[in-house]
Amino acid sequence: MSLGKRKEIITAGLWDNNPIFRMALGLCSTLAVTNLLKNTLIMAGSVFITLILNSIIISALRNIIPEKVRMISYMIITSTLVIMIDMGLKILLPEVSKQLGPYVALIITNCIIMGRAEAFAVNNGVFHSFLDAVSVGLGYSLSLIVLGVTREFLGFGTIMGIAITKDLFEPFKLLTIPPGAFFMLGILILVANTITKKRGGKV
Amino acid sequence: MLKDLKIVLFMGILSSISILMLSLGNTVYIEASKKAFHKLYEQIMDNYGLDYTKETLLEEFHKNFKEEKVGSSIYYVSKSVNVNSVVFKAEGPGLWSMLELLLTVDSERTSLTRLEVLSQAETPGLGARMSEPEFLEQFNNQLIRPQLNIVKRASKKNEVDSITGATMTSNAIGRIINIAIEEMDQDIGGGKQ
Repeated sequence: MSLGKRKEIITAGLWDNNPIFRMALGLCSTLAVTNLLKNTLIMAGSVFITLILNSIIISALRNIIPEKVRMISYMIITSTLVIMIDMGLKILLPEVSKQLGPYVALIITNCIIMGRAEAFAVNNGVFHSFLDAVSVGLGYSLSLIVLGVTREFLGFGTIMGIAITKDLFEPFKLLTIPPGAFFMLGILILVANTITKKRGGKV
Repeated sequence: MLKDLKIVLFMGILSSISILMLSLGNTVYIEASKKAFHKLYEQIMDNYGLDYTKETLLEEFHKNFKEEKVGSSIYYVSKSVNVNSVVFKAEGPGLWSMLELLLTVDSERTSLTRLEVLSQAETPGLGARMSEPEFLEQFNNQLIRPQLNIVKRASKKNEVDSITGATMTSNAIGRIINIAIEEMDQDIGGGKQ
């Protein structure tokens, strides 16, 4: 494949195929863990790793996986990966793991993972599946980080736990709980759609 | 026929690899979890002002505390300092997370000597303030009979102040403590009522 196609794959996941702002996938974890930037980064990292490994493995096995058990195979591979990552997190970062609660394990159900496996990895080579996973993973991570920074800053007045504007304004406590995340997400999708419309794209 | 055989073979191999990896991971996980007990022992030893070194921790702990296991609950009854006082973990759902508390009950089994929070992930600035000394200090030598009530403005001897703006978390803490004490009474016998 040409260099152009590679570039296309990389940029697609960042905006046009952005899983959160454009495709509205994987919202559950988005809303639950973005109230602190630290948790957001760990969650984004976990999904990123899972996505890449999942896509690479499925792409490598794409000619061996029998047609009839395609979905089940995806599930076994994804589940094994996520459970290992969850256990790893519990051992290495127990505090963060407790804050993330069940949401790391719920990455198994995250539509993005299986979505990219079915829509891309199973029909393309390993390298391109890797690029696609990196791209969508970055798009997901960046969206999560934007949401996380906004929520932590406006909800607590801190970033990564460091107080920034302690007495400047009264923080919006609403943003620290999941319903607040819902509102914030809506606003960000509105912004994303407005930008897309201005560029002449389809919403 | 051959196609079906291929499917069975493939699924068999895939599942086997998956099970192998998960078993390995689980073994490592269990080893790491054992370390968590050491941390708990250290905390309890420190609370009672008992000496130990990294090597003698287990030995000293079992010298000073009797471990009573009833079902899935483990009670550590003191044998040396404040004899008959008991330390144990109590766990229950808060508003957004599981609350893990460490209760230290006095030798008469009528008051809490102290309350410590092992883990919680409640609303920061509201429920999460349960970990602040201001709130926890109330539980030092706090009467828990006939039961502990966490109320808006504590007036009676068996009442403590709740956290302003964190009604649900406060109620959860009260619930967890009272149920834990009830179970303690059933499991290892309480003091006077």
